[in-house]
Amino acid sequence: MKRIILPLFFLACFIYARGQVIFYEPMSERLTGYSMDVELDPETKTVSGSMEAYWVNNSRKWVPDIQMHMYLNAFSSNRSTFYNENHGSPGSSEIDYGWITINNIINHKGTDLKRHMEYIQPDDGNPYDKTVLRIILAEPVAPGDTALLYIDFTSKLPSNIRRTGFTDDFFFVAQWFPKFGVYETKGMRNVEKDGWNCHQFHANSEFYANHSVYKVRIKVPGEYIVGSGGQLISEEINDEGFKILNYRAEDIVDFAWTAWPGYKEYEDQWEHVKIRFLSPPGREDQVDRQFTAVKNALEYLNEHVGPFPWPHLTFVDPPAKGAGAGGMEYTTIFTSASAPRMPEFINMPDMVTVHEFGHSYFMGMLATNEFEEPWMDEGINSYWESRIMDHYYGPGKGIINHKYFWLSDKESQRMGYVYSSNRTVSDNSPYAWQYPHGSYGMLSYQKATTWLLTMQGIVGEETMDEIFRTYYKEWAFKHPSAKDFIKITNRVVTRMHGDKYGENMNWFFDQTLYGTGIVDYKLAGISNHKERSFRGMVNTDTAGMILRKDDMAGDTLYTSVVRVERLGEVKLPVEIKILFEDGTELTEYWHGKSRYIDYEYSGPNKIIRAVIDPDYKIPMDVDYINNSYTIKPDTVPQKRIIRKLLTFMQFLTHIISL
Amino acid sequence: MKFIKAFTGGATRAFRSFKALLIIWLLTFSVLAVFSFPLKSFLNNALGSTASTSLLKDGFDISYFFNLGNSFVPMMSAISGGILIVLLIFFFLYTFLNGGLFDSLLANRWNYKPSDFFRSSTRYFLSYLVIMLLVILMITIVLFLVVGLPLIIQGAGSSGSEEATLKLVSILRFVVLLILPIFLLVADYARVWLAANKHCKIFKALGYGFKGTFKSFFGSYFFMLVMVIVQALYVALVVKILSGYTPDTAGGIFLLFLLSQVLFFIKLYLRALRYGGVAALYQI
Ligand SMILES: [Zn+2]
Repeated sequence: MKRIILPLFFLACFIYARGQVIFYEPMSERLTGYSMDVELDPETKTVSGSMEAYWVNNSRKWVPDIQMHMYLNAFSSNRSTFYNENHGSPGSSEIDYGWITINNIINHKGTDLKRHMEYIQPDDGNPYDKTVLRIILAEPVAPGDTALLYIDFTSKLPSNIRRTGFTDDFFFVAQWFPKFGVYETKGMRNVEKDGWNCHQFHANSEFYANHSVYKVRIKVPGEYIVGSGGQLISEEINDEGFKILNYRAEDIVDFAWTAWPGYKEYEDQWEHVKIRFLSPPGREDQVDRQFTAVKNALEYLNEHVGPFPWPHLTFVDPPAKGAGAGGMEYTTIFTSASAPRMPEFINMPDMVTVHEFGHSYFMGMLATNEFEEPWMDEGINSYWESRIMDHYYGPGKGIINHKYFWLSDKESQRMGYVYSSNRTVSDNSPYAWQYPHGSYGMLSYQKATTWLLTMQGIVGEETMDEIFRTYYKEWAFKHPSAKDFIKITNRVVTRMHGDKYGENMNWFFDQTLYGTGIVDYKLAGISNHKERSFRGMVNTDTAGMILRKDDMAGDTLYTSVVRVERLGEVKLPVEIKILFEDGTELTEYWHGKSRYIDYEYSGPNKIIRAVIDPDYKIPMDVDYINNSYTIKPDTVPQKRIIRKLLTFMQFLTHIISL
Repeated sequence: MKFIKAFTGGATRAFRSFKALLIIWLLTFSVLAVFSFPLKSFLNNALGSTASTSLLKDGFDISYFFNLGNSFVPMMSAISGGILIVLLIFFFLYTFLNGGLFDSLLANRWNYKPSDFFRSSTRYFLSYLVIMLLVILMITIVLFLVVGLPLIIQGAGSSGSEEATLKLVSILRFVVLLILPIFLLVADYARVWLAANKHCKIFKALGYGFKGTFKSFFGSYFFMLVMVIVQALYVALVVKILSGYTPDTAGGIFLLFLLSQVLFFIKLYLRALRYGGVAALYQI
């Protein structure tokens, strides 16, 4: 790594000279950096300007080309890979389309590179897709050397907001500038050879980039209110009435911003983090809960994973007309999603805020490749979302917290997986766009969350925290892969538990992350039989064969059996809690490796109830109802529900009859 | 005071029609009970001997029923499809029963015979049905004009902010509340007229519906407005009472049954009071 220090130092000076520093010690390697000067034209819906960008070759090879994301071209036709995948279209009139063009590109010597550019389609060969640009450099970049590019570009935002775009005077400007792919070196993320990792823009999955430094000057009409992922360095209105904003951001993987004259601005502080919130008028009543949500997430992730280093954070609740921009994450700026008059008991806006903030860890700092391993981004993040929501919003009531009905975040994730008809169609190893039968969301968010929660059920919450703290310590501001996560898990689990779970946890990952089977344990039944006293023919010396009837000495004894079955393919250890009629309880531990097990007891008391996994430690179990068995079922709750349903129908039918 | 007369007249007429109300309660309850059997047996089968129903002890954990797994989806679609069919059936059933109810309210005597109830129900069924459909059509058109159009126009204007939409919605809600009694009056006067004149002339009845409504407009209108508000508040109260009551014993379930039926009977009575009030106004 010594080789790259010199150019980095040079570049750091070059960029620092004009701005304020956020981190005196860089958090990341900063192999890429961007300095941009752009202007928003609300009439033509374009952002145009110039950019100086650098890329450091930290490999041992000479690199002849550079690959850049040109995301906005996904909106340039209905045949782009993005629209092929979601079967949509950018729109009908010219203003609806989005695109990005490079008007001018030169290297540090002034050599024009424009004639040496071509669009490539590394993922699917779709010739209509122009979201990855390859630039053949005038001369290859030597190991340790830096490539500098000077680019003039125009970005036209699409009207149909998907992550990025405009509606009227509302702009969410994301994935909007020519952006370097990641040049991967052999061994990194377990790749086999050096090369650019630069995927096309897909319907699902957005992120993989180097942590970078951004210096961005934005010019907008004076009435616009702007929020960005950068720290505001200066803001002024020029003589022509335009607003000029200077931002600086460090060690983030993408720079996004938004502009809309309608925003109301709010500020709050959490420890060292100044939080800015932009929200549409009419949602004043939600400002407090939004700040609470983001502060909850900050607090929880700081405590359980690692520190949030940035001193600034902006988040946005887009207005209804810009709802397509809701629920997006750009580390130091993210968008929530809400609606006017959101009832208190529906924790949806809070959940989106917690989730999108969580991405500043899982993707932002722990910069996984979402294209190739989406579960590490969405799955891990949803796992933390479920922990945070259920922790702060009432146990078991993270999503809906009404007095009479509720839904936990953990259960809502589990439901998404358990309820899905194609829950076994794939494991978690495909690339984002290769998940079959529309299973991407269910498998990479919900199944992954559910197996992570199951892992927590097995090894315990403290061990999970230790795994993630180690993951953070070793991989923050780097690019971990699934293998790296597994290695850390194995190390932490064996350090904390010895060989309690075997020599490693691979057996778990093989069945869950890399497995398609389901977990389903069933309590097949309970039987209680009186032990019988002897009655039969015996041979006596005096009278020969006679019938003998023994009286049972003392109390009646029962032979009781609990029958447990494993219906699913996945073998996980489970606990079985058994309750006798005198109130004694006992817990059995079953490795779950065979198809069934019978537990037999003999004693004066009958078994009245038995429950597999009584503490719901195995949320992967697709059916909780068959996990328990009782000799006297309580039908009162279901009767109550039916009774209330009928009364509801009585009133409803009467009301509609006028 | 017509307004007061409508209330007292309605209340006593509804009271004297208790036999009609009992018939309505019994019939509608039995039909609904028939529909609930498949749901009951489905739940009993699906839950079997599980001990997990304790999760539903003090409320409704939404995720619980997803554990029913493969049988859950067909059950849900059966329920949602079933609800539509039930609503339709009950729309016809009440239209039928209203014939007898109006007749009983007009007769206004204790010894009104169940046989008269069913005779009137049968006689007025078709004309009541057409009147109901026409009134619903009118309400739909007016709702579109007063609610749909303003919202569309407001939404089309790109400057329309959420705040303005919210304000508009609350104004429109108020407007609907003010307009709705007029159509209910039309429907009620038309039905009263039919039952009083033992006719089946639908359009003449509708014509009278409007005439009756506007003849002594304020008395009728305020009576109906108050009835609409009272019934809405009553339903809200019922929701509050019943959702708050979560019995966990068999005895509690029986109490819930009694309570819910008493509450529903009061609802039937309030509706009869409204019809009876219009009948009283008609006969003044
Ligand atoms: Zn996400």
